[in-house]
Amino acid sequence: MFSFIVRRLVFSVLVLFIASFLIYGSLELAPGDPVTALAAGHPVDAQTRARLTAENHLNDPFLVRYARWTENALHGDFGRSYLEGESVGTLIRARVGTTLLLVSMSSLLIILGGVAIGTVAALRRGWTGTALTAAAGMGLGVPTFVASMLLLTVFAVELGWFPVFGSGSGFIDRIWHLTLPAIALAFASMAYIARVTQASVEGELQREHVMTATARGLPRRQVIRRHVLRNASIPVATASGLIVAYLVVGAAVVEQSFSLNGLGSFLVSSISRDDFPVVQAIALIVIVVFVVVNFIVDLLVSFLDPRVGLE
Amino acid sequence: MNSRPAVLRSPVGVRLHLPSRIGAAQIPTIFCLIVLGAIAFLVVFGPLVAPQDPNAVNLSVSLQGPSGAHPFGTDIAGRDLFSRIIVGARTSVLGPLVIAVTATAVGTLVGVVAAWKRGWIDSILSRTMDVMFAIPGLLLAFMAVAVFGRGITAPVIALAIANIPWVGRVVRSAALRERTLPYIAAYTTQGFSSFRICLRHLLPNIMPTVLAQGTLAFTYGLVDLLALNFLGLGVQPPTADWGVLVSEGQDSILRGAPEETLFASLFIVITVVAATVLSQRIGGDEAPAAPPA
Amino acid sequence: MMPRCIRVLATVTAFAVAAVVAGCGGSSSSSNGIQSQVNSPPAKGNLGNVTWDLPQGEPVPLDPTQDYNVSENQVLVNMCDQLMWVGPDFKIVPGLASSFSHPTPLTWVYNIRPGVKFWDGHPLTADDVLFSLDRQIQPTSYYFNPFGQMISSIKKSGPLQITITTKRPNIIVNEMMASGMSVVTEKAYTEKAGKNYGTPSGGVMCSGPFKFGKWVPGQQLTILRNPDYWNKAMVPKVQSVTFKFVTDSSTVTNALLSGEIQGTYDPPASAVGRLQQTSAGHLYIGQGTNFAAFQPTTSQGWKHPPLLKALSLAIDRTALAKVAFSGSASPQISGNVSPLTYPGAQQKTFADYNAELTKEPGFATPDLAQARKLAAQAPKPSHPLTLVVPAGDATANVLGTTIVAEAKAIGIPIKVVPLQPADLSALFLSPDARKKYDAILYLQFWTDIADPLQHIAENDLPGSITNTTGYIPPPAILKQYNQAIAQTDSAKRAGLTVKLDKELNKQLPYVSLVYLPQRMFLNKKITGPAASFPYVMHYPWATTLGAPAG
Repeated sequence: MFSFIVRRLVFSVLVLFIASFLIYGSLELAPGDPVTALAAGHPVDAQTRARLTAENHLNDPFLVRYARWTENALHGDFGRSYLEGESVGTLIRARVGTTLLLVSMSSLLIILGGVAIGTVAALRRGWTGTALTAAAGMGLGVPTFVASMLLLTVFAVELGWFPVFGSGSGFIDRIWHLTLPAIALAFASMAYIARVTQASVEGELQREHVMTATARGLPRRQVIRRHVLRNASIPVATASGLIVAYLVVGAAVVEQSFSLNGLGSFLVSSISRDDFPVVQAIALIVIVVFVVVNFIVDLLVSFLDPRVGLE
Repeated sequence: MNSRPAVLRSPVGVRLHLPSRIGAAQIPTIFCLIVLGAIAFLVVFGPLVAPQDPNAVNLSVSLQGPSGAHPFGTDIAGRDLFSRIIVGARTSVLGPLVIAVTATAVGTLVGVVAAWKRGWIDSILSRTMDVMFAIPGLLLAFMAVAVFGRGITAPVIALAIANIPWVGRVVRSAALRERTLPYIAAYTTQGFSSFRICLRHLLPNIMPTVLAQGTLAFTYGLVDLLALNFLGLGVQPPTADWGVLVSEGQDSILRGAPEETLFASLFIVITVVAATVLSQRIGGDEAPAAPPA
Repeated sequence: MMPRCIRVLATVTAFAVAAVVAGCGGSSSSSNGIQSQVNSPPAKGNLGNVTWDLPQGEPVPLDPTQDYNVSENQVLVNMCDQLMWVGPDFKIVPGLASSFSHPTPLTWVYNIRPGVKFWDGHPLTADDVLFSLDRQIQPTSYYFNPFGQMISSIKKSGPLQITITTKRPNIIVNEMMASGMSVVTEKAYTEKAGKNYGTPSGGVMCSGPFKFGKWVPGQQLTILRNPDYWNKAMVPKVQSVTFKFVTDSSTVTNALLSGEIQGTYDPPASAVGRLQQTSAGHLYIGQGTNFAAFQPTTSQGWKHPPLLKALSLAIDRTALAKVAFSGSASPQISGNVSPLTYPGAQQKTFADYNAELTKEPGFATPDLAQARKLAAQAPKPSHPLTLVVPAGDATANVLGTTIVAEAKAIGIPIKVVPLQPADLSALFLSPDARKKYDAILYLQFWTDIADPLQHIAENDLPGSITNTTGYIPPPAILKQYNQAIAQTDSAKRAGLTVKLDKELNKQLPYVSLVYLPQRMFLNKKITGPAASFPYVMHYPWATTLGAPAG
């Protein structure tokens, strides 16, 4: 078990290292002159050019700049936004709360809702199961931006049950503001977790030890709880880990549709404005979230299924 | 991440569920095939069958509701929405198709090679795929736009790359299972080359898995690309594209004309649902391998 | 059992139908006659907080040297005093400068109000004014620097007096002292804040009627009432104003309808119909110097004058005003003189000229026959000419699409290229970036002062930053211009301006499309400000905000 954790840890750090290198390196590829970008489109005379080059260490070799960027990023310093003149850290801190709450609410919906739907669909045959399976199939087919538009139009604009924009202030108000966006973000992923759960529960039901347990006359409730759900939860946990990490990017679409000022919409607007320091910072955060969430899921899975660590 | 079990595992004995005789159970498959066939028809012949010029502007018929002349109504510039959606099928669907074909081809190659060779080649390929999982497809597409500017080519390449590990992982598991079957050993003893065995025997046997993954890659490509276009980072107006139409139409909703957004959304949902259901049908009723974006 | 696919489709369709029904529940018809209504009823009562949207988006740093766009000026003018302001009727009114004089043709002397204090209690001195003006004429102040080029020196001529000397007799410099160019910030604070000045964490230090409150990046910016403001009559009736940065037109509209946002300048053009019908508040369509324009660049694309003239004749300005701007616009054919009510003695001259302009061919209806004839005179472009439009803007989209179709009808191929804000501002600021495209569509082309001469100075003279066409006037026109800006009698100056504009229109450096009066939406709970541009940028308009009843 211990060696498993160490291996996962090493791998996580490796992923972070490679991904951060790719992020920093890819934006280096961007055509155009970095000084022009730094000047945010303003004309650059020789003096300004020299100053911007020196200030941003543009003459250093790529690896030196990458090392400096990584080191600063570890301290939460992502440089200064080209356009807003403010430090990227400040700009991100102002937005991270919204995205965090949105993604948390969404994850909760996805995991609780998805697992419930999937389990019921697997255990109940007949029309309930079929209906739930069909609903999940359809849910997968509704892209996040379509779900956002429909929810916004029907429940916020026409019925007026929810606010039409913004993330609110105060805890309850925030939850209220983020309910529709969280549902829109959860929609397709909830259907996905439902399908994973259903497949996994159905698979477990046909396993030998489950059949044996049932044959031995153990109560069905107990068989399901002890043997089916425990084992079936492993793939669900793995899938949830992937989903939750991907939600941070998916949030871009939802945040844009609901005019929320989170990391996702900031990423999109920064891409539109070629504000590279912001793009780099948010991309790195997404990767960090992915790595951390999946590390936790790996630990969880190794507790649920001790065989995992022995592989 | 060898520890990712059942999600990424095809059930044993997957076979193409396409029947020799058409029965009631095949109706959904056939229905989805018809829907996708119709979309494919529009992709190829859309500009020929569109009743009107999709870019013909006429401000005097701005924002009209559905009528005989304009079955889906008109947009703000008075363009025929029916024609724009039909012609838009090509821009909307071609990119995802390229993504699906590329990701499936490369993913299958990687998966089969890894499963066949095993050892250090498998380790390298599998670890590489594990690292690639860490970068969500949509993020990679965003980065592509940040580096190369708005447009469709860079995101299509990015999404094709991002989908490779999803296909590769599932194909590898399927190929690994297939490899242990006696017939492979039989061919090997008979002295057939690895290349020939893989191409002529192993690959056809895991084809259902490959096709199911390819169809899924198509839906994810479609959803991600349309999201990109919806956000204004991909295809640019005045090109007709379903994602662009959804976002353009938002402004017309304010003027009391929701047709543009609604009809474009409807076409998107129909296409994605048909492809998702089809992939479940050909791949067996297993869970999809990749989460939606 | 119903096949899964069919059931799914049925559900989707039901969903769509529900949404259609919901969508149709809104309004549909729209009215066309623009009735100008500049002023809202004066405020009678106090209020707590007012939520106000900036549809052009979040301000870039609120540093006056970088603030020449609507969002920044609209906020900053309420915090930072200018030497003079522009009233709703376009008249220039005194601000920090209690008076000015014009002792010689080259000098303008400004007397600074005594007893004015910055928010931190420090007294405002001529040094602060000198420091602030000096920053604005440096090359780092990209927009104002060209006006700075008209100035030979700025000097402190007394403890509370500043003297500006111009290179030639020039009334524009004086007029610009009613713009963001004359914003006064505290010298010590600004120097100390350095790069952080005007950012969310750095803030600003000024003497205006509102103080810098809290700026949450990406979310909102709050300004707070300054109870100690030097002009007691202008101490705000509201405790605070919270600016939101919602740019999406549907979201802005829905928030205005629901009251989540109480007011805005420039509510979306697409929402004019809905906002006119709502009982949530009132839509004002006032006056302003804004218009939409088609500007060729320095590329070779539009080098043959008949081609541009042909395009101007082919454009259906009436239809554009009606469809793209929901009727909240009207045709405009001169790039410099707008159909607005100019202040004072100039009005009659400009009103007569505007009446004359309505009879110009192409003003109300296109003249396609003549357009085709002119287009045929120029060599046919070998490739489609590119037209840059702002990406993601519904109105720009319609305008661009329509221009392409209308140009095609007379045989000129045009291709639309949508660009994002960053690339657009690069075009604006860098001639090299512009050369890659053949023309730019400007949705909001304005002057800081309602004086056509300022527009000519900015757009038709070489060396000006907004002269994106690269137009160089012949010496005769330059001479006329120099005579006009030297004329201090406004009635006589208007006459000279009209003559100059007629000459310029013959040359047609660019095509103007439609006149855009200032729109403003106020929730029924608030009142006070006027719908007038550049008033929204150059007057502390938020001081007029308050409740309709006491």
